[in-house]
Amino acid sequence: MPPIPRTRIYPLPPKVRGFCHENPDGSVDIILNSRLTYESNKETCLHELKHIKDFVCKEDCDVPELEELRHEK
Amino acid sequence: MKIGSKLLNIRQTNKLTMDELVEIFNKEHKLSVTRGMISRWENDKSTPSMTYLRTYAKVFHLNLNNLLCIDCNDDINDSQSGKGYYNNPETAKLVQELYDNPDRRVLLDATRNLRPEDVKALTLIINQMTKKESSD
Repeated sequence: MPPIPRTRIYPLPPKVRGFCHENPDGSVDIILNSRLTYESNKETCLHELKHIKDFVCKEDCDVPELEELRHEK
Repeated sequence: MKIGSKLLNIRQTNKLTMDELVEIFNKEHKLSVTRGMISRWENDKSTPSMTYLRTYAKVFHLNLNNLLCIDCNDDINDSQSGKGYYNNPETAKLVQELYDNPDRRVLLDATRNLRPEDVKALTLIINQMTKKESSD
């Protein structure tokens, strides 16, 4: 079972709601924008959790197309 | 940029005359647009209703939100040139680079009109975070 992602808040540029990143040890961190509301952060957290699966695709991943797909859902 | 300038810019970028645009609106979208109406919209003498704005978005494959963002500085043409989620191809490239970094693969949740400067600022933040973590 993959480790539970660590969630943190950080002041990010206003157009960035948040991001997730994979660490060299395979663990994942979710960073949320501290400038945004709690509700917005909740939505972003769900979005990022879906992304964690995307780290599996690793090579040849077209990120702009992936985002298009994720935002359509 | 005001909406009139945006509409003018869109038409000129797509190399259409006012008459050609009138024909597209009326024949393909069953509207009753005149040359005078387009001229008034483009010169900000009047504002097109949502029906016409939606048609502009449809005809030119634009994001209606961008079209309505009257005072923002986002380039309306970006949404025509970008592939995928991001309007600006430069932003898309930088976001892809963030993912392709083998040391720290990053995926974002950001708005479509994210600017390259925002991605660069974010990259600096991520680098700072990485440095701080490795020194802790």
